[in-house]
Amino acid sequence: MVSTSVKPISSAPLSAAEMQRISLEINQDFAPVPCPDKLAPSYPDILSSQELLGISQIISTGFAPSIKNTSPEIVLMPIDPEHVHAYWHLPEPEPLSESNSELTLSLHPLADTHPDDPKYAWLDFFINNRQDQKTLTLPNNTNHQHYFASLSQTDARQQLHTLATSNIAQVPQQEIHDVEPVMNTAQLFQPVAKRCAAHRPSSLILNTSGQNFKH
Amino acid sequence: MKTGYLSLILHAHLPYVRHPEHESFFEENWLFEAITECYIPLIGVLDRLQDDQIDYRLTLSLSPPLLTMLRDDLLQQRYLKYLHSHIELAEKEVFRTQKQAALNELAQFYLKFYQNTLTVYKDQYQGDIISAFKKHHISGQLELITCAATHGFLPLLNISETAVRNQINIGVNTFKSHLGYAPTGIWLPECAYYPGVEKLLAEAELQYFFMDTHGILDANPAPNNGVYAPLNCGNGVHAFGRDPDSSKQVWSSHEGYPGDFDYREYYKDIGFDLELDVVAPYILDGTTRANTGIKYYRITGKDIEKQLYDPVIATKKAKQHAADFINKRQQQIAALTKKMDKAPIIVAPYDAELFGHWWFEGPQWLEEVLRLASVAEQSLATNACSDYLEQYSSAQVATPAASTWGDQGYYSYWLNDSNSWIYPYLHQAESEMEQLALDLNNLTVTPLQTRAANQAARSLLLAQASDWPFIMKAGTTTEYANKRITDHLARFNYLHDCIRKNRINERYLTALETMDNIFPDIDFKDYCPN
Repeated sequence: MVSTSVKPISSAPLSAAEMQRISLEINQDFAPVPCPDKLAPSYPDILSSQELLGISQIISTGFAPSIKNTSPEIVLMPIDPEHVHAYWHLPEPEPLSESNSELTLSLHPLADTHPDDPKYAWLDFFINNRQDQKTLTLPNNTNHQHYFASLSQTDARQQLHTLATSNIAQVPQQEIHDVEPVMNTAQLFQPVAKRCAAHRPSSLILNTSGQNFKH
Repeated sequence: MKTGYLSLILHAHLPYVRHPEHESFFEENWLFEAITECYIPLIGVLDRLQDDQIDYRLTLSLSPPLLTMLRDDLLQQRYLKYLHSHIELAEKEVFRTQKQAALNELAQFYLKFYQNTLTVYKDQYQGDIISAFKKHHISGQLELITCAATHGFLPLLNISETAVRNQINIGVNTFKSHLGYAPTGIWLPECAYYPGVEKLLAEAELQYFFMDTHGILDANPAPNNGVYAPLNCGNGVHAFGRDPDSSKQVWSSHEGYPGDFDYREYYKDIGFDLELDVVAPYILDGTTRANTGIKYYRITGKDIEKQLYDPVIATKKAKQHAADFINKRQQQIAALTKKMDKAPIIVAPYDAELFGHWWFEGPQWLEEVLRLASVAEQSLATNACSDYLEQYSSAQVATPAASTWGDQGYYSYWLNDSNSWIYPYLHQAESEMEQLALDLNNLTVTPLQTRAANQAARSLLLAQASDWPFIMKAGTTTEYANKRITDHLARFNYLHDCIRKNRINERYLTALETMDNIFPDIDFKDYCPN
């Protein structure tokens, strides 16, 4: 037989004060929230253009973009079949730490199953700055498409310590051969045929009149 | 008997430029020029084709920033002011050139052009250009598709899947709110594809997207039909590849049609040619010379004196070029049909702003192409990619290759020495937005906090636009691009900070909502990572 009344799971009775507190908590946390105003009434009903400009300038000055250097980070981005781009930032070292120890940026193909082991690192770059960017050229004739990078530091005993490991970046597969354009439609059936990238006209990109479109 | 298809795609996009904090703002002219020279002439083409009962299919992608700007009250008011100012300038030109018959004829041509623009914009469509495009969608001729929310360059935002998901979903939602139905296709900003994005496109119920040629040719496995049939990415989302032949005929600055000597010369404008006091009221600050749109000369040739533009001869040339274009597509189709087991589709995508702004005669060329393709005896017909997918439901399964349609074919135009500095900030802001959404998701959030968090998401999206790194690399209006990206990031930082500290200044928030009033239905909770 199914019970139709709700029975308390706990057998201990609740005091009036406890019930009042629970009721208040539930009310605070789960009270229906009215549908938020989507957007404020639009200009010029509320703020003048001068006021908008003033607020815009205050925010732009006071909250300009900056990197919050709280934890070590390295990010890897693909550019083309031959290049990836890395940026990183490391917190400033503790005063008594080995601040002069060498920093190394290592690039690994994803097949590398030993990212912390320097002997498996594919390419190493010594770096000087704790916050910087670098475009890395990939070796020719590799079949790797997925890479990640790591930042490590060598201590006084020449031990390498990994400080940060990047995301995995997938680089494009093929190089564009900068030769002969496609001569006819049939050639397009040849996989990896020699061809030109279909560029957009330079005049649409390099307009210098100062009021052109983006393309 | 139609043996093949031609799919013409116009991608209409401009960055979100709207500055109510200024009484007037020069970069808003980008939109005004595009409305005058591209979108209204395009509507004229579509209206004439409808009047003549021409059967055609054309695809137009409308980016969310463009949709928003076209429907914006402030920009609509400012556009009317812009248009009246151009009518005034043209009237002055008619008067100034009254003793020079040939020039005077051209001045009258421009006066009529602007007057007609005003009639179409104000009287025929009551300032609502989107309704004009929707009308042609309803009539079955125009396929409308969407784009990512702020034209974000997806492969470089892909450090966070949530960032890409929001760019796609907000793009779809913006389209729905303006057009009233769900799009079937998407224009990936800059045709930038990376393997895996199809998963997010499928989540958004999109069926197809476009790629540059090498993205299809380098697919794995190799395509059986080159770029002349779509690839199924493995999850039912299809990739269509750009045909290089038809692309080159229109895009190429050397061999392309727009460089014909009879066409109007873009770079010779009275804003630069006339005495400063004549054009002062119509250029930047009355002192810095700029294009006005009134151009009296034709391309003429290289390193020779420019000759006067003749609209009649230019129109005739546009028709010749259209016939040539259709003829070459027929030849292509004849060759392709012998090799393929299904009808080939030739995909020809272009920036919509090429037609009319850069290539003044482009709309006439397009109209003639669509008219010629509609003739029953032709071996080709125009179609949209959704039509093709309906007709040929099975496609080869393959993973396309990462690619873009930009210079060099990959990501280097958007990631190089001129613009790489933006990515640490963009990625950091995205990460903070996601953490904020997660944290707020577990709390009771007040309406004010909700507004602030939604506005933070808007600021983040506006900072992510691919236009800013593009302009930085192109070196055109770099100061403006730098300012826009740093302003949006500063606005994000401010909102993030004040939400975290629970000290939201409603006046400041209202100011930011007023200035960046895009995506009214945004929900910050969508930034909770899946």
